[in-house]
Amino acid sequence: MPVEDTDLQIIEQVLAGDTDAFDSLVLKYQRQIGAVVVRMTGYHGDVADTIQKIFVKAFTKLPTFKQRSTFKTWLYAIAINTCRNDLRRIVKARREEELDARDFSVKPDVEQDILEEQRRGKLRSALKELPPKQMETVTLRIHQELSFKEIAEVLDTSENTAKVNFHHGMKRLSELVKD
Amino acid sequence: MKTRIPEERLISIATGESEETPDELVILNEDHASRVRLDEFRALFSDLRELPADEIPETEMQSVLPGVREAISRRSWWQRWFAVLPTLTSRSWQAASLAVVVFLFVIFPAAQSPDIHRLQSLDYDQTAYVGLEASTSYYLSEEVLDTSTLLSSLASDDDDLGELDESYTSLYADGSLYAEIASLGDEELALLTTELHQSLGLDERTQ
Repeated sequence: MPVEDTDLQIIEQVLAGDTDAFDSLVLKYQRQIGAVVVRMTGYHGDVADTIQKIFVKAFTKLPTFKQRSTFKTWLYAIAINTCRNDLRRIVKARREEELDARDFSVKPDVEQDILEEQRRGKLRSALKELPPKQMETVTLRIHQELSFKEIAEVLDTSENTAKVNFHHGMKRLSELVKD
Repeated sequence: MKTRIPEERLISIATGESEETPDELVILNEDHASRVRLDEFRALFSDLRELPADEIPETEMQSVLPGVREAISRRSWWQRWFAVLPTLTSRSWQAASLAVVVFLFVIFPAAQSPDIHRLQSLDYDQTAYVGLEASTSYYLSEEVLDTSTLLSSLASDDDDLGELDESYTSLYADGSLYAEIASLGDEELALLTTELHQSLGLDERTQ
């Protein structure tokens, strides 16, 4: 099966009762999971809590991990589902923090920075306007560099559907940034 | 020959999923709209890739592992218990369920019976009395109580509850003391009770 040997060995240790072995999985994947969380929801004050929640869910569900996918994509699926469930609360917190951060991050005397920030802001806004499945697919494909097969495993869909969601998402983004 | 390249195909080319075929290269050279659209998708893909993610402060990242450890340790003992459940056979599961039901509906209520509560509310003197009553009744029913020894023991120290307590303890310590009570009839038992009351100096309300 396509599970990395080291991950599999660690998982077996954890399932055998060595819960401390789970630490190495947390340390190995916490930054990638953190990146998924902030890509999906933006930075918010509870990012660390969200990452913790994802790993605790993974630990709890570990006996159900059937090795049909890699541990990484399985973990990503938990991360995506957790982000979806928490999205309303997270987005609200994020908007408040973005408003606060914007006052400090924009440098009005540097025109180039303003234009760059506006362009990025427009792209971020466009990403948020995508339907959830398209946004998730685009993010996983471009920022996490997952294959369509892996995206299909994460989002529990078919590879073809993942491709269609990606193409629709890109087309929609293209229209939104033009407006 | 096609005059346009479908947008899905342009996206695949722009994002590096695949390369242009020779036919598509020809079209792109001839069809300005397709070429412009491909450039737009390439620019979009590039912008998306370069779009910086919000950074998570290092202090927050360092708090992840301790938080996970704490949450896991809190869950561990629950998990150990629930992990046993799927391993139980149907019969052992039924036995375990029955044991829980028996404990909840029989043993636990019995342990919390009004008599126990009443006993717990008694003071030292009253407890000594109830203990004597209970032991007397028990040994009478079991036909092992020695009336004369009991009475003599009580009569010798009828004002001293400390000594009385020793007598009470002796009821349990030496079973041979109670052999004689086995032959007690109802009247003798009533006499014994009266003697006990008088020896203890307790009125009837404490019974």
